Amino acid sequence: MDAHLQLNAQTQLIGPASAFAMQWAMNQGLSREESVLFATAVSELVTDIVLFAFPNNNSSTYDLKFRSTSTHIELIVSELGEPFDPDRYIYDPITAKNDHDFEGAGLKIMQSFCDDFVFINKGREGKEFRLVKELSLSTIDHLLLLTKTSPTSALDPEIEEYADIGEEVFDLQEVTVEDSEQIAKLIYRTYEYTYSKEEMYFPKKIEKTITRKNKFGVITRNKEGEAVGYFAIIKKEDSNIGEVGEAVVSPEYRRRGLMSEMLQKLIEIGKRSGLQGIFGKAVTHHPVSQKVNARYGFNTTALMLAETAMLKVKGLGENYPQHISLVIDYLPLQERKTRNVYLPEKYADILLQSYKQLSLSVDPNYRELEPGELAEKSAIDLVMNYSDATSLIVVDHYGRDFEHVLPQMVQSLEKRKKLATIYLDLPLENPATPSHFSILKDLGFIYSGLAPDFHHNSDFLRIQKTYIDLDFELIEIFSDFGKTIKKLVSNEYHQR
Amino acid sequence: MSIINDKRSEEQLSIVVNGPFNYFTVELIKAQISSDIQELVLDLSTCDILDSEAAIFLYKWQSSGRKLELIQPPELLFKILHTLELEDSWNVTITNKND
Repeated sequence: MDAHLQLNAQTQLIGPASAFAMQWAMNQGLSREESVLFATAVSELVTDIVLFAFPNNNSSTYDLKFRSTSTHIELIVSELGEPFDPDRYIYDPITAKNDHDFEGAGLKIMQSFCDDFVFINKGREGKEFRLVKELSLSTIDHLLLLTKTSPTSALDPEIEEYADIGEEVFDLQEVTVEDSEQIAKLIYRTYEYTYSKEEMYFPKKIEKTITRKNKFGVITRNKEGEAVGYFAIIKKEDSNIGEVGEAVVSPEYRRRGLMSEMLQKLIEIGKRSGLQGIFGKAVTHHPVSQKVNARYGFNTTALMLAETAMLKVKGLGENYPQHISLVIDYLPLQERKTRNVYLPEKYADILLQSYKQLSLSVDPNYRELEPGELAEKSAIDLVMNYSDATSLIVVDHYGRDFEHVLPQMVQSLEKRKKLATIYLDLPLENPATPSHFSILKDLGFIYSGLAPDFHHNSDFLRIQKTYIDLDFELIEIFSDFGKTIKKLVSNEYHQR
Repeated sequence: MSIINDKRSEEQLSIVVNGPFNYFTVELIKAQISSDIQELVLDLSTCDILDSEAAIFLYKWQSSGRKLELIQPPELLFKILHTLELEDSWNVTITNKND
């Protein structure tokens, strides 16, 4: 459960903040020992903010957002206090011992006690600090004892998808909470420890997402009632679309077309549940997932460079020599009215072609917004993927500070040691997008594609800046239109 | 309050720290310390969260030559001292409540 606190910049609230952090972290599944470390880091951060960002103003406030995913917990602290750059405060134990100068000690503790510490300077929008802890997988061992089945070889989609379902009768049903343990066992038996979505090893976590209606899944059983396949759509939190995100077929049941059967059923469930559309992020080191998506009516709308550092699944891309890029394949599930979109001239053609591919009707508009029509402050969200070292910046709306805030955020991210790619989503239904697009020219972003219905049920232009060297010859795209996108992205990548 | 004055003699101040031990707690303790106090006894048996402000305060106190006795300090204190590379110059009496 996420939580949002707003605190006055007062030293007496340091203790309650850290005590809350500890209890919250334990509730999210962190061990007591690790929760203590997280709470200590929170204590350090809150102390620095109270003492240095608001040295003379304890009536000011700052925000703490506690966010939890299935693999990480994260505290995002935002404040509008005095400028402060933590990079300048380097702890030196010699100076500490000799001169009793302990500058940087708090930062050192935060960095040591957390798995990641992020500082984002948002310029006039203030500063943002993030403390991140990974959730451990220690309980997988319990699953191992429960299954008592030897792990078998991993999925090879090349031979999985082009077979007929055969004569054997399988039972395909919509997933319920009762299936959670069977799904976790199926994942473990198939992938051992190598499945990339770590939360899938935890029946309780699977159960939680099903209960919250965040997940629509299909489970396949053989005639003995044993679970042999599973496929699910995960609903996006900020929009009424879902991602085709989890798939597994037990090795001895491959080459029977189960994956295709399940996808078909999932599409029906998604439509019935009122999802606006579904998308899949298909890998590009082989074209099989893209082919399956295309067979079911998905269209490629974007190419995301270096989205995944490595694939953990055995047999899938172990020898691939570079970060794996993904395509977004989208399938609209409901009729939608013609939308007014404001397209940056540079990408108007390709975006209109994308809409045409999807059979989505839009009315392109090129009116530029006057600065006076803008809000004072921009609303920009930042989502970080700590495992893959990627970041997604989502512009909700533009303010007069946009031209300062966005470059500052990008610069802050660029200071990080590990950074693969920054993706930036711009709202296409916002009249200010074309005029603000020019601001991004000097930041080195290139095309990624169309992200239809991706946030707040609206369409977004996704652009990207990758810091990884890529050989485009190794990026395999299946569809003709996907190849058109790749050509544009490749041209811009090589002209950087 | 996160601290309780346990006992005060001419040269010794004993305090129980309840809950988090941080900048605010340090300021409360400092306010209790008069110039004649030479020994500080802190009962940390119910202290669960402790940060660098607390560790540095304790480090400075003991390195000033004054006595410091800690009752059941949490393991976290030693982890912080280790992280800040201060453990080699740390000389403090550690006791259990049962001692």
